[in-house]
Amino acid sequence: MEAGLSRVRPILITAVTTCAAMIPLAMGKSEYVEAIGPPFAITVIGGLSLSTLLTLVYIPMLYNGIEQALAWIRSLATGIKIVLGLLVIAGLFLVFYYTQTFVWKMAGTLLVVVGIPIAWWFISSSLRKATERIIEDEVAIRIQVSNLVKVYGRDSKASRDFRAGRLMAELARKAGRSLKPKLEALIWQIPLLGFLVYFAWFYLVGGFWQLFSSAVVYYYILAIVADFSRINKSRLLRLFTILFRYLAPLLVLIIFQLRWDHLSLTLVAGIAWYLVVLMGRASVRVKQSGFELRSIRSSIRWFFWFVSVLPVIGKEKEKFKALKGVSLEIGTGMFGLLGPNGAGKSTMIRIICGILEQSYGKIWINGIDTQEKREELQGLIGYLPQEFGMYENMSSYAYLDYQAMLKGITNSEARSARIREVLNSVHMWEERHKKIGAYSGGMKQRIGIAQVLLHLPRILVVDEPTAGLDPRERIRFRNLLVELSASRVVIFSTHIIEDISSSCNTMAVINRGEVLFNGTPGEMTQLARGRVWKTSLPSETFEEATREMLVVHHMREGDEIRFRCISSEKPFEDAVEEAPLLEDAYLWLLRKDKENKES
Amino acid sequence: MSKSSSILKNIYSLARYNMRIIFGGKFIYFILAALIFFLVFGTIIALDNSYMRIEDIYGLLAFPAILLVFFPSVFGIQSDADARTLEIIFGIPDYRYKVWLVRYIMILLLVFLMLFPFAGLAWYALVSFPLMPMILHLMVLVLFVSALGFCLSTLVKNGNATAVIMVILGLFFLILADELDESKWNMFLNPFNTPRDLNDIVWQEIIRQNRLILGISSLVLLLLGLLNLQQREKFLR
Repeated sequence: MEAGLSRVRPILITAVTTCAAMIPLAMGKSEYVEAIGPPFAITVIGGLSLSTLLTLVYIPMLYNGIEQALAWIRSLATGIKIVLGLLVIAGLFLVFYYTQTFVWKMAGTLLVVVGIPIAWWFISSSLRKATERIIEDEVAIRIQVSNLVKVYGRDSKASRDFRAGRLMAELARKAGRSLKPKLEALIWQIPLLGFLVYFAWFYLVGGFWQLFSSAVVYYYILAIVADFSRINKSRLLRLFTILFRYLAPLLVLIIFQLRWDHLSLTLVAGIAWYLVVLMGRASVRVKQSGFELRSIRSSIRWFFWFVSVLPVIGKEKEKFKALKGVSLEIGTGMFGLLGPNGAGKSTMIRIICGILEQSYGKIWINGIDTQEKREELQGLIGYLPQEFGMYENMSSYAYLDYQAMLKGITNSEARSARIREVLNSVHMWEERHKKIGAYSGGMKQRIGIAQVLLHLPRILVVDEPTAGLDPRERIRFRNLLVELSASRVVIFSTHIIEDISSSCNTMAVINRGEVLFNGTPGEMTQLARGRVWKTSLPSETFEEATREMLVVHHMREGDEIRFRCISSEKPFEDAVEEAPLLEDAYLWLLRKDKENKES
Repeated sequence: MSKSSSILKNIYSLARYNMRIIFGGKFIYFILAALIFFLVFGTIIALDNSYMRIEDIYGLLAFPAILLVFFPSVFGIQSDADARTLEIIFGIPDYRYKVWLVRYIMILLLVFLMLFPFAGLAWYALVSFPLMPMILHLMVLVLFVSALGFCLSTLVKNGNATAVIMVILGLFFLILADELDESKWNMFLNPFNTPRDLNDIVWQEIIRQNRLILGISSLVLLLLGLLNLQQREKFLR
């Protein structure tokens, strides 16, 4: 690979100069040259281009692919290797028995040697299965989250590779190292431009090709000017760019009309050309960050809207970093994930459950990489998402019966007993024959909880399950989770602090995609020690005096307001220090995080 | 309860629930639409032709069969997305097999069973023909169309867009059918339409290869669909 990389420059120089030297011969029209020159030159140009492409792109890619394929074959079990080997031998036998010509023998051999391993890979990848036996029952589960990053709207790998150069230039610019093009690097484009103009307007004879080549020359000149404008930011150059952008097509169309005398064609071509130019300009605008359609004049807003919804040239999805390098360790017991709305809790939970893919970072479950063994690990995880629906035309009993079957409870009597148990635990047994569509939001939430309780795998992940439940149901469900966490990992995401303080052994606070705290609720409570104060103020001065303070709660008592606040220093002379609660520590953490970010 | 009766009860329950999910309680409308389609076109063909041939029956039965299989295979995943059950399904181990593969097989079984009364009606009212070979040949076509629909729905991830692509592909295959005529590559090759200028052994070989191509393509499309379903994130908008 390295040898190939070091030869890129000489290979390209040789190929480009030879091809350039062949062009006059390929275009030769004189009597003796015409017969043999163009076929010879075109053969040389074509052959050289193909061999350059093979040398610089295909062979390195193929080599890399073969290396990976061999590594994969080596990793297969011996039995599978033998089966694959036998299949290849049988395939080769069939190829040599049934095909006559050398070409078909070659094609068949290639198909068998490459096709059979690919087919095996394809079938085994498609049919991957979940298994609970991936980790032995007696081994405790440990989840390790390492530097987890999730960027929503991130480009695909192919797109990122394609834009790599531009991205590097952008990063260099941000770091204050602008990668300006050098003037001499642009100079060589001028003879090429001269050639293209000659080619478009003096060599080609067909009207369509002249117009098409002119459009190519037009965009080529704009690209060169854009490069020059990175070196020279003079107003003259900007003026030239604007004039050229809008007048050059007009000039070309006038010449075209004079030469071909076809007004309707010229008009259609002109409209199409100017439309493309205007769409290009609108595209630049809509792709700018912070672009708002409302900022465009209402008479032309429709055009910008049209451009913004088109693929490639339209508005790109805003990228959003939901997790910024989260690292955690989660063991057996109840683990609470606390954070405000939009903190990244659901994103993290969804990545742990394999619903979303991380952008960077790793999650290991007992040392097994979840990205590599995703399907296999699904057998260990039970998951209740934050927002979910159900088949509303089914009764809750039928729905749970179906879910129980999917979760592997195949004995119908055991299934009935289990459904009865879970429906009783969420107080929905009496309502079991009603259609789910007729339930209230809270009732649906309870059916969702019942569904996750049907089968209890070794890792149970519930995302804000208590939202929408009345206090009695919430406490009941919380207690149920505590019981279950004795022998399994329960990850419990919530923004209700009370849920965490009364049930979790360990916890993490997450805000804006970052972990602010990771430890026990008791340890977290201690963070606010010496910062919680209680005092009273006259009601008329209360608002003014506490404007900058973090008031946890307050209550009117006659003309005074008694309140509890958080402050790193004693806020008032008569303030009394209070024992901190988890709620105080949480608010303190969020406040500190906000201050850190602002500073 | 004995083990075999428990298994039968499970299969029955699973079939019942899946039917309710696949057709959203509107199963009877699909059957009626297919039946009406079959009756109308059957009557038209019977009145237009002085005598009916077996090859006409293949065409007549193919359309209601495709109609029955089209909706569940193309809109299956979209229905789950609309019901917001996708994330719950993704949380079930082996959801690809237990949910979508089971539904896929059930649809095929259903169409297979539905073809018996349809074919029986055609046999009784129009022309006598070997029932089982006719149904099995139709099932190869149904298998291919459903696998294509399923695979495309996992790629496009939108029921309406998949339906549009399927219709365009259908038209494309129909246009190709005229060009390919008796070729083994013709997806709509009618195995009962024996060409006059072709030796019977050659024709049988063409049919065999055609069915093999459709069968293998269906398998590949199905596996590709299952592979696509591993990319859960792409299904959640």
